[in-house]
Amino acid sequence: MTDSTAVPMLEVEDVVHRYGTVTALSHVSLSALKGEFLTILGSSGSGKTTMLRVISGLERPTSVRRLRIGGVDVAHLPAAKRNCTTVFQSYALFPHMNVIENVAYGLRIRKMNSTDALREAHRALGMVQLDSKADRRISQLSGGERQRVALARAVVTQPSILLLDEPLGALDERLREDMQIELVELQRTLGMTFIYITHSQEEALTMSDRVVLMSHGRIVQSGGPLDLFDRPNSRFAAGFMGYENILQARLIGREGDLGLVEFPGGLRLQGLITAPALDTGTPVHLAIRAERISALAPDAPEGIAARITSRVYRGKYTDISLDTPAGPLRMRSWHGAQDESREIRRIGWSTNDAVIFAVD
Amino acid sequence: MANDPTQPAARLELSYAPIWKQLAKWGGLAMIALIYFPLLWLILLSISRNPLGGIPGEFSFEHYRALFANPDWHMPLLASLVIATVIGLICAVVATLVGRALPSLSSPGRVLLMFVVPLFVPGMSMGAALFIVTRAMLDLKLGYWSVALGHFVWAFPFALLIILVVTTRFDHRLVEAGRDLGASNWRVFWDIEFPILMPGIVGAALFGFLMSFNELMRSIFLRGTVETMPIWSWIQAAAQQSQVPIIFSLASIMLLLTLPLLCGVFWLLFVKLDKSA
Repeated sequence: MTDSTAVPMLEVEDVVHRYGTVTALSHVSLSALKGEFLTILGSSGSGKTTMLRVISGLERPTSVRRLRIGGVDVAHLPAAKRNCTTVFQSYALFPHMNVIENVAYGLRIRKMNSTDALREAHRALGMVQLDSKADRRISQLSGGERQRVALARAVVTQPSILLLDEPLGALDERLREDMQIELVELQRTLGMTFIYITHSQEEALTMSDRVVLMSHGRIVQSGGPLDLFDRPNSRFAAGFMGYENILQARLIGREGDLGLVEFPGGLRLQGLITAPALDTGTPVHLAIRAERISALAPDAPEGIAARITSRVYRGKYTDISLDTPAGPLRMRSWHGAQDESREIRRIGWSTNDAVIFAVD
Repeated sequence: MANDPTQPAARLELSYAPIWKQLAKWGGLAMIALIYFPLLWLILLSISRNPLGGIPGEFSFEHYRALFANPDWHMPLLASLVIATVIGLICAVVATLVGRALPSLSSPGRVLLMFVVPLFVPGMSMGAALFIVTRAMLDLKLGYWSVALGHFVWAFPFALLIILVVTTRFDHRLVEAGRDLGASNWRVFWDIEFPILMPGIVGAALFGFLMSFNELMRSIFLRGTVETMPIWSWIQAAAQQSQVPIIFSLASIMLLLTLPLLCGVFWLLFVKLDKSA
């Protein structure tokens, strides 16, 4: 027996899609392994939803070199004949069918006899803890319940790949957090490949095995959640992943991944180079998260000088704006920490927390 | 006067006066009376001995007996029923096809306007125009088919407007969901789209039927020598005053048969069968 986890469930190579003169996908390639939770992250207009529709077959791409699901070439198959189902952002539940009829629909289409179809549909509903509402009408369900029905309806046919298009977007925060955990558990139980679309970096980091960050129809960066969170390799990735401080400097030396940058005022700082093939002398960004900056003693040998320009209390934390030789910086002090209120003259951070990448 | 501070206040008073609500209420009631009183009066006159007197009284069923003794109206009624049924069905099918396609066009308004213009073309003009094309230009023998053609042109816009009420509200993401779950285009139509559009489709058929069943103006031009129910009633009423009382009876029967029937159909459609709400 071959190792089933190494089987590529989804292979997309060089897909291009245009709507009129607008290029929604520009030479994108993507693959996912069996049982992998892959998240496509991006803001609206990044092409992530188009990507999902190309995989599901609801959109025929302008061109694609290879499109396989479970090893089967599906490039020319209509959506109905592809072994994948979608959980739509709008849920798209059939309003004229009740809950169990909705869930059993895919099985009915596959000509499963009605006793078996009903049993399978009930099992799928049980999986999302909604078996007690099998006979309800869709209009009688809450948003969270509809979401679960949509999920049950999509997994009941046991597709190779489940596509999820911002399924938690319409739910309130509390419910969303619960559903994130439930979705991951469901995915582990089913061993199914999930391709998950979201604009929320939090969702991407919490749930995924791998994250693909998209912008303007291209893949900007992909990797594990930690890679994206701590090692962004472009201005866009750093901004999207929530880096508050992205400073302009020039790379003046490098030693492996470790880089030394110089700021216009002459200040020199070290950081990790995340973008490969970065030559010394080129203009770069140095980025650092606000919560990774901490206050140092005024006479500490390391770190840089700083002067507080403002403090903004935000409940769980306080954002402190600082003026430094590297430029204006923002640091974040968690509620109750000393830095929240005391005077700050000098700040510092771990070299591993500062990343260096090229200016776009 | 322009500086009179009481002036705007007085106007405000009038704007908030309860009289407007009262006016709306009594106006509405008057409208309802205007609709139903004549119908009730018609029924009362149809069972009166002297209906042409205008005042009900001395009730009898003699005009109904005369009506049933007279077989002349059987053929026109049958013709009207058959034509109206055919037009209703054709309207339902064609309006469904057009109504599904219209919302996805780039400029649906313009196309829709072209389809519904027959609503505003005077019946005389449309009838005369169709007569010229069929009889004078194509030299065809007019008959039931040409009457039906005129009825279709007349009834279709109504059917289309009714279908559009449901097709414009139809959520096309449901079609995508159906395909995504493995349904062919045919299955998606029959399982998802058709049941949701159903009230509109039946409504279109019903309106097609009614518009055809009541049509007179175009039929006059296009009938050749055939008679439909409205033509027959019109000829009878116009030609012989002695026939008017049995037309009252016939009109009453039609009313008492169709009104409950229509109410029933609408109830079935919008209360009993509509699961989408």
